[in-house]
Amino acid sequence: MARRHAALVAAAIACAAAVPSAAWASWQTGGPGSAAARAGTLTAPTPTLGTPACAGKGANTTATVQVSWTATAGAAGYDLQWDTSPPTTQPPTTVAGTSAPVTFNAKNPQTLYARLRARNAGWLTGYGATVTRSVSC
Amino acid sequence: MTRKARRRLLGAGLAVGLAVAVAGSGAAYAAWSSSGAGNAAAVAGTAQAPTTSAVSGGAFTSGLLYPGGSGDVKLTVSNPNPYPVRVTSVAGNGAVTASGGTGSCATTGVSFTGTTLSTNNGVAAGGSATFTLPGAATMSTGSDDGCQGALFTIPVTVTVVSG
Repeated sequence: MARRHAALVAAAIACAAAVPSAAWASWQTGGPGSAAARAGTLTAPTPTLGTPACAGKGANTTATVQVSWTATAGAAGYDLQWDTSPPTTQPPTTVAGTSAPVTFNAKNPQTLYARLRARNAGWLTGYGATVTRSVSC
Repeated sequence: MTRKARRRLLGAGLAVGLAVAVAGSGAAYAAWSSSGAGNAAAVAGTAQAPTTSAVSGGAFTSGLLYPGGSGDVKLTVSNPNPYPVRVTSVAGNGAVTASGGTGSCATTGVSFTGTTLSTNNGVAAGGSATFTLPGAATMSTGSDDGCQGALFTIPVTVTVVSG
Protein backbone atom coordinates (compact mmCIF):
# COMPACT_ATOMS: atom_id res chain seq x y z
CA MET A 1 0.00 0.00 0.00
CA ALA A 2 2.83 2.38 0.90
CA ARG A 3 4.49 1.73 -2.50
CA ARG A 4 1.26 2.57 -4.26
CA HIS A 5 1.00 5.81 -2.35
CA ALA A 6 4.58 6.69 -3.15
CA ALA A 7 3.93 6.07 -6.85
CA LEU A 8 0.91 8.37 -6.80
CA VAL A 9 2.92 11.11 -5.14
CA ALA A 10 5.73 10.69 -7.67
CA ALA A 11 3.24 10.87 -10.53
CA ALA A 12 1.77 14.06 -9.13
CA ILE A 13 5.21 15.67 -8.89
CA ALA A 14 6.12 14.51 -12.39
CA CYS A 15 2.94 16.06 -13.68
CA ALA A 16 3.78 19.26 -11.87
CA ALA A 17 7.20 19.35 -13.49
CA ALA A 18 5.72 18.87 -16.93
CA VAL A 19 3.47 21.93 -16.73
CA PRO A 20 6.14 24.63 -16.50
CA SER A 21 8.20 23.04 -19.24
CA ALA A 22 5.27 23.43 -21.60
CA ALA A 23 4.67 26.96 -20.39
CA TRP A 24 8.24 28.01 -21.08
CA ALA A 25 8.12 27.13 -24.76
CA SER A 26 8.34 30.34 -26.81
CA TRP A 27 5.56 31.32 -29.09
CA GLN A 28 6.49 32.56 -32.50
CA THR A 29 4.33 34.57 -34.80
CA GLY A 30 4.82 36.95 -37.66
CA GLY A 31 2.94 39.57 -39.52
CA PRO A 32 3.21 41.83 -42.54
CA GLY A 33 4.15 45.44 -42.18
CA SER A 34 6.46 48.02 -43.59
CA ALA A 35 9.85 49.47 -42.85
CA ALA A 36 11.43 52.63 -44.18
CA ALA A 37 14.69 53.86 -45.60
CA ARG A 38 15.58 57.27 -46.91
CA ALA A 39 17.67 58.58 -49.75
CA GLY A 40 20.13 61.37 -49.32
CA THR A 41 20.34 64.39 -51.56
CA LEU A 42 23.41 65.37 -53.52
CA THR A 43 24.74 68.87 -53.05
CA ALA A 44 26.91 70.84 -55.43
CA PRO A 45 30.07 72.14 -53.76
CA THR A 46 31.42 75.65 -54.22
CA PRO A 47 34.93 75.71 -55.68
CA THR A 48 37.92 77.62 -54.44
CA LEU A 49 40.34 79.09 -57.00
CA GLY A 50 44.04 78.98 -56.26
CA THR A 51 46.78 81.43 -57.14
CA PRO A 52 47.43 81.56 -60.90
CA ALA A 53 50.71 80.18 -62.14
CA CYS A 54 51.83 81.94 -65.32
CA ALA A 55 53.99 80.46 -68.06
CA GLY A 56 55.19 81.46 -71.55
CA LYS A 57 55.40 84.88 -73.12
CA GLY A 58 53.38 87.09 -75.40
CA ALA A 59 50.65 85.31 -77.28
CA ASN A 60 51.71 82.03 -75.71
CA THR A 61 51.26 83.19 -72.15
CA THR A 62 49.15 80.77 -70.15
CA ALA A 63 47.83 80.72 -66.63
CA THR A 64 47.12 77.61 -64.61
CA VAL A 65 44.73 77.82 -61.69
CA GLN A 66 44.09 74.98 -59.29
CA VAL A 67 40.37 74.57 -58.60
CA SER A 68 39.54 72.71 -55.41
CA TRP A 69 36.46 71.97 -53.34
CA THR A 70 35.21 69.98 -50.39
CA ALA A 71 33.56 66.64 -51.09
CA THR A 72 29.82 66.49 -50.53
CA ALA A 73 27.88 63.52 -49.14
CA GLY A 74 27.06 60.78 -51.58
CA ALA A 75 28.83 62.28 -54.57
CA ALA A 76 30.95 59.96 -56.67
CA GLY A 77 32.21 62.68 -58.97
CA TYR A 78 31.89 66.32 -59.95
CA ASP A 79 31.41 68.21 -63.14
CA LEU A 80 33.72 71.21 -63.30
CA GLN A 81 32.76 73.90 -65.73
CA TRP A 82 34.92 76.95 -66.23
CA ASP A 83 35.42 79.79 -68.67
CA THR A 84 37.08 83.15 -68.97
CA SER A 85 33.89 84.95 -69.66
CA PRO A 86 30.38 84.61 -68.30
CA PRO A 87 28.28 82.66 -68.71
CA THR A 88 30.33 79.51 -68.47
CA THR A 89 29.54 77.72 -71.68
CA GLN A 90 32.46 75.35 -71.96
CA PRO A 91 31.63 71.64 -71.72
CA PRO A 92 32.15 70.41 -68.19
CA THR A 93 34.95 68.07 -67.19
CA THR A 94 34.05 65.23 -64.84
CA VAL A 95 36.44 64.87 -61.94
CA ALA A 96 36.44 61.99 -59.47
CA GLY A 97 38.48 63.78 -56.82
CA THR A 98 38.19 67.19 -55.24
CA SER A 99 40.58 69.29 -57.27
CA ALA A 100 41.62 69.90 -60.83
CA PRO A 101 43.87 72.37 -62.66
CA VAL A 102 42.57 74.58 -65.41
CA THR A 103 44.91 76.20 -67.92
CA PHE A 104 43.99 78.98 -70.31
CA ASN A 105 45.54 81.64 -72.47
CA ALA A 106 46.40 84.68 -70.42
CA LYS A 107 48.13 87.03 -72.80
CA ASN A 108 45.63 89.61 -71.62
CA PRO A 109 44.17 90.06 -68.12
CA GLN A 110 41.36 87.57 -67.63
CA THR A 111 38.70 86.70 -65.16
CA LEU A 112 38.26 83.00 -64.48
CA TYR A 113 34.76 81.73 -63.80
CA ALA A 114 34.21 78.25 -62.34
CA ARG A 115 31.35 76.23 -60.95
CA LEU A 116 30.58 72.64 -60.00
CA ARG A 117 27.79 70.12 -59.91
CA ALA A 118 27.81 66.74 -58.13
CA ARG A 119 26.93 63.38 -59.63
CA ASN A 120 26.56 59.76 -58.64
CA ALA A 121 25.39 57.30 -61.30
CA GLY A 122 22.10 58.72 -62.54
CA TRP A 123 21.89 61.35 -59.84
CA LEU A 124 22.96 64.83 -60.82
CA THR A 125 22.63 68.21 -59.15
CA GLY A 126 22.32 71.57 -60.74
CA TYR A 127 25.37 73.80 -60.81
CA GLY A 128 26.33 75.50 -57.61
CA ALA A 129 27.60 78.98 -57.08
CA THR A 130 30.00 80.48 -59.63
CA VAL A 131 33.25 81.82 -58.24
CA THR A 132 35.65 84.17 -60.02
CA ARG A 133 39.29 85.16 -59.90
CA SER A 134 41.13 87.89 -61.75
CA VAL A 135 44.23 86.67 -63.58
CA SER A 136 46.92 88.97 -64.89
CA CYS A 137 50.18 87.42 -65.98
CA MET B 1 0.62 3.10 9.51
CA THR B 2 -3.15 3.28 9.90
CA ARG B 3 -5.48 3.68 6.93
CA LYS B 4 -6.25 7.23 8.09
CA ALA B 5 -2.56 8.09 8.26
CA ARG B 6 -1.99 6.69 4.75
CA ARG B 7 -4.81 8.84 3.38
CA ARG B 8 -3.32 11.92 4.99
CA LEU B 9 0.08 11.12 3.49
CA LEU B 10 -1.38 10.60 0.03
CA GLY B 11 -3.36 13.80 0.24
CA ALA B 12 -0.33 15.77 1.34
CA GLY B 13 1.75 14.41 -1.55
CA LEU B 14 -0.83 15.33 -4.15
CA ALA B 15 -1.20 18.78 -2.63
CA VAL B 16 2.56 19.33 -2.84
CA GLY B 17 2.57 18.23 -6.45
CA LEU B 18 -0.24 20.58 -7.38
CA ALA B 19 1.35 23.46 -5.50
CA VAL B 20 4.61 22.96 -7.40
CA ALA B 21 2.69 22.85 -10.63
CA VAL B 22 0.97 26.15 -9.98
CA ALA B 23 4.12 27.85 -8.76
CA GLY B 24 6.21 26.52 -11.62
CA SER B 25 3.85 27.80 -14.26
CA GLY B 26 3.57 31.20 -12.63
CA ALA B 27 5.87 32.83 -15.17
CA ALA B 28 3.58 31.68 -17.90
CA TYR B 29 0.66 33.59 -16.46
CA ALA B 30 2.09 36.81 -17.87
CA ALA B 31 1.34 35.53 -21.31
CA TRP B 32 -1.21 32.78 -20.83
CA SER B 33 -4.48 32.76 -19.05
CA SER B 34 -5.56 29.88 -16.90
CA SER B 35 -8.86 28.67 -15.54
CA GLY B 36 -10.10 26.43 -12.79
CA ALA B 37 -9.19 27.07 -9.19
CA GLY B 38 -6.77 24.49 -7.94
CA ASN B 39 -6.27 23.07 -11.40
CA ALA B 40 -2.71 23.13 -12.75
CA ALA B 41 -3.73 22.99 -16.39
CA ALA B 42 -3.03 26.19 -18.37
CA VAL B 43 -5.20 27.36 -21.23
CA ALA B 44 -3.30 28.98 -24.03
CA GLY B 45 -4.44 32.26 -25.51
CA THR B 46 -3.90 33.14 -29.16
CA ALA B 47 -0.68 34.84 -30.15
CA GLN B 48 -1.45 38.07 -31.99
CA ALA B 49 0.70 39.03 -34.93
CA PRO B 50 2.83 42.15 -34.51
CA THR B 51 2.00 45.27 -36.48
CA THR B 52 4.13 48.11 -37.75
CA SER B 53 3.55 51.82 -38.04
CA ALA B 54 5.06 54.39 -40.34
CA VAL B 55 8.46 55.91 -39.67
CA SER B 56 8.72 59.53 -40.73
CA GLY B 57 11.46 60.85 -42.94
CA GLY B 58 12.60 63.07 -40.09
CA ALA B 59 13.69 59.97 -38.19
CA PHE B 60 16.60 59.62 -40.57
CA THR B 61 19.50 61.81 -39.62
CA SER B 62 22.16 59.41 -40.86
CA GLY B 63 22.44 56.17 -42.77
CA LEU B 64 21.00 57.70 -45.93
CA LEU B 65 20.98 55.88 -49.23
CA TYR B 66 23.00 56.92 -52.27
CA PRO B 67 23.52 55.05 -55.53
CA GLY B 68 25.95 52.20 -55.09
CA GLY B 69 25.75 52.33 -51.31
CA SER B 70 23.83 51.06 -48.33
CA GLY B 71 21.67 52.77 -45.73
CA ASP B 72 19.71 52.20 -42.57
CA VAL B 73 16.26 50.67 -42.37
CA LYS B 74 13.90 51.69 -39.59
CA LEU B 75 10.65 50.18 -38.45
CA THR B 76 8.31 50.59 -35.50
CA VAL B 77 6.89 47.33 -34.20
CA SER B 78 3.78 47.21 -32.04
CA ASN B 79 3.09 44.23 -29.84
CA PRO B 80 -0.65 43.65 -29.22
CA ASN B 81 -0.02 40.73 -26.90
CA PRO B 82 -0.20 40.86 -23.10
CA TYR B 83 3.33 39.52 -22.88
CA PRO B 84 6.68 40.87 -24.10
CA VAL B 85 8.09 39.69 -27.40
CA ARG B 86 11.43 39.79 -29.14
CA VAL B 87 11.76 40.64 -32.82
CA THR B 88 13.89 37.90 -34.32
CA SER B 89 13.77 38.67 -38.01
CA VAL B 90 12.60 41.20 -40.53
CA ALA B 91 12.30 39.96 -44.08
CA GLY B 92 11.48 41.88 -47.22
CA ASN B 93 8.35 40.70 -48.96
CA GLY B 94 7.47 43.09 -51.74
CA ALA B 95 8.38 45.91 -54.04
CA VAL B 96 9.86 49.04 -52.55
CA THR B 97 8.04 52.27 -53.30
CA ALA B 98 9.15 55.87 -52.96
CA SER B 99 7.58 59.17 -52.02
CA GLY B 100 8.77 62.68 -51.47
CA GLY B 101 11.74 62.65 -53.81
CA THR B 102 12.89 65.53 -55.96
CA GLY B 103 11.19 64.07 -59.03
CA SER B 104 10.10 60.85 -60.65
CA CYS B 105 11.38 57.81 -58.78
CA ALA B 106 9.89 54.90 -60.68
CA THR B 107 13.12 52.95 -60.37
CA THR B 108 14.14 53.20 -56.75
CA GLY B 109 17.07 50.82 -57.00
CA VAL B 110 16.45 50.01 -53.34
CA SER B 111 16.52 46.44 -52.09
CA PHE B 112 16.16 44.86 -48.68
CA THR B 113 16.66 41.14 -48.32
CA GLY B 114 16.14 40.92 -44.60
CA THR B 115 18.01 40.67 -41.37
CA THR B 116 17.94 38.88 -38.03
CA LEU B 117 18.04 40.45 -34.61
CA SER B 118 19.44 38.88 -31.49
CA THR B 119 20.01 41.76 -29.08
CA ASN B 120 18.13 44.90 -28.09
CA ASN B 121 15.11 43.49 -29.88
CA GLY B 122 12.44 43.50 -27.17
CA VAL B 123 8.96 44.97 -27.37
CA ALA B 124 7.02 45.31 -24.12
CA ALA B 125 3.59 43.80 -23.64
CA GLY B 126 1.12 46.03 -25.41
CA GLY B 127 3.92 48.39 -26.35
CA SER B 128 5.90 49.41 -29.36
CA ALA B 129 9.53 50.01 -30.21
CA THR B 130 11.44 51.50 -33.10
CA PHE B 131 14.37 49.56 -34.47
CA THR B 132 17.20 50.68 -36.70
CA LEU B 133 18.79 48.08 -38.95
CA PRO B 134 22.16 49.60 -39.88
CA GLY B 135 23.11 49.31 -43.51
CA ALA B 136 20.31 46.86 -44.20
CA ALA B 137 19.13 48.45 -47.45
CA THR B 138 21.15 48.91 -50.60
CA MET B 139 20.66 51.19 -53.57
CA SER B 140 21.79 50.27 -57.04
CA THR B 141 23.32 52.70 -59.48
CA GLY B 142 20.11 52.44 -61.49
CA SER B 143 18.22 54.62 -59.05
CA ASP B 144 16.38 57.46 -60.77
CA ASP B 145 17.66 61.00 -60.33
CA GLY B 146 14.29 61.97 -58.84
CA CYS B 147 14.82 59.56 -55.95
CA GLN B 148 17.03 62.08 -54.20
CA GLY B 149 15.60 62.76 -50.76
CA ALA B 150 12.85 60.17 -51.15
CA LEU B 151 11.40 58.13 -48.31
CA PHE B 152 11.14 54.48 -49.26
CA THR B 153 8.45 52.15 -48.00
CA ILE B 154 9.72 48.58 -47.72
CA PRO B 155 7.13 45.82 -47.29
CA VAL B 156 8.35 43.37 -44.66
CA THR B 157 7.35 40.40 -42.60
CA VAL B 158 8.20 40.78 -38.93
CA THR B 159 8.71 37.65 -36.87
CA VAL B 160 8.55 37.75 -33.08
CA VAL B 161 8.85 35.22 -30.30
CA SER B 162 7.42 35.50 -26.82
CA GLY B 163 9.66 36.33 -23.94
